[in-house]
Amino acid sequence: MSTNISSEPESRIEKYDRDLLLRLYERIILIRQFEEEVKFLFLEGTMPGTIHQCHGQEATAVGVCAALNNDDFITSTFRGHGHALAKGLTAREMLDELFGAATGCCKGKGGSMHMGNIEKGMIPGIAIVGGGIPIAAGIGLAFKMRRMPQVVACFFGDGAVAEGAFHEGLNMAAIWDLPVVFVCENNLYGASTRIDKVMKNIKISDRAAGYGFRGETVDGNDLLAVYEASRRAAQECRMGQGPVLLELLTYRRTGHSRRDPCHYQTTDEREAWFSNDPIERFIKILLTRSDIGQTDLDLIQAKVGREITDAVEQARRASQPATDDLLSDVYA
Amino acid sequence: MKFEMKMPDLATTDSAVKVLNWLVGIGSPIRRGQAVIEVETDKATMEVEATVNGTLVEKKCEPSAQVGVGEVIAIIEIEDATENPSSPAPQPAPSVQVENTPAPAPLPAPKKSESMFARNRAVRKPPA
Repeated sequence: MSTNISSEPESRIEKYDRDLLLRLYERIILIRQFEEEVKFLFLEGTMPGTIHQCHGQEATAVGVCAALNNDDFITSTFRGHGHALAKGLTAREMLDELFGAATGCCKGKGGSMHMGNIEKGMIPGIAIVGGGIPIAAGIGLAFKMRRMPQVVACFFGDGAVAEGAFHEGLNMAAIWDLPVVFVCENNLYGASTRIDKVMKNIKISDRAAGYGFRGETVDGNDLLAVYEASRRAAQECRMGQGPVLLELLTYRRTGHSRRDPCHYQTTDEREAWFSNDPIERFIKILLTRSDIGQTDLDLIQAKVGREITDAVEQARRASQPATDDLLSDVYA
Repeated sequence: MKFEMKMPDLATTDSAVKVLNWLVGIGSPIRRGQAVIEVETDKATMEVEATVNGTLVEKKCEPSAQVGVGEVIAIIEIEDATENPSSPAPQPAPSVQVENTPAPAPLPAPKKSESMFARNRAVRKPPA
């Protein structure tokens, strides 16, 4: 609670543990490289289905998930690759899933839009816009009724704010003081619709006041700012002070899905956000530390690259689910 | 080595894609990620990126042609096999402990244009 995030990144980075910083770097670079690889697999035509990618939004996933404990939970969306990798899923179980293999994190039956692993605190992604919000409130209610110390972080986009489920989930979490960190990744566009065309007040964190809890807008491309804000929010939830709404300002560098060429983003806007890249910004402040050098970062990048290459090789050969398994794990 | 560049399923509906323009000429070097051809799907005009590094040696389709998903659209000569096909791993390479799980036996190749779902449908028995 005492952390002052208004200080300059260069000054506050000195407070951080070196290992934590390098772990954060490994996660954020893993997400970028994973998404790049997956893009090419899609273009090759070897991997089935469309994909919703998170290039440019990596810091939100990493910052929030790093602030959680392993047994805390997250809910995710159709754009869930980053959230999953940040919560500790491996490139391998996810690539297997993308290829529809039985060894995937959802046994090959979920695919891109339903990444998850309950053992790692991530229920499979919920592709319905806003659909994860009441579910997160339900998970929070379970934690509270069982007197468990966990919290749940609920990821959704700016488009979800217009859904009825947003109101229902936030209100319920508010009246029962549930331990839910509502994480709005505001990337300015609900699919192709710019936020200012559908909202008079585009500061989404203001909505929290209407429900009687705290909201905060954070620079979502500043990894450490996201991490610190998430730590504070999770701590408040653990202390029983109820939910928090975090609005993380970020930007999607690719189309909504692979079929979207993203023509609605203007060149000026794209260039401004591209020069505000979360990974480049993080590298810049990492290298201000005397105990972190370019070689450290290169080694991590090489390790991540090999991890992904190996996972792709494995996924291409992995077995698909058997027909006998068609109805297993099906509830209704 | 010759690499066959195929039309991706950019409309994600398996429908044919219209070729608009070539963005590179024969003999031009191509980088992985570089836009090489402009196309039109049912929804939008888009650029198609190469997935390999190499040189464009042959165009297999002309502007205004309707090209099916998976059809070969270009031949790219790959000069250096070590640069392809995956993301470049910068040097130096440290030793990494990789989980030592044997890879499962590969499945027989599916019939052309038959998805996993189509095969599953084919073997599903009708209700009694």
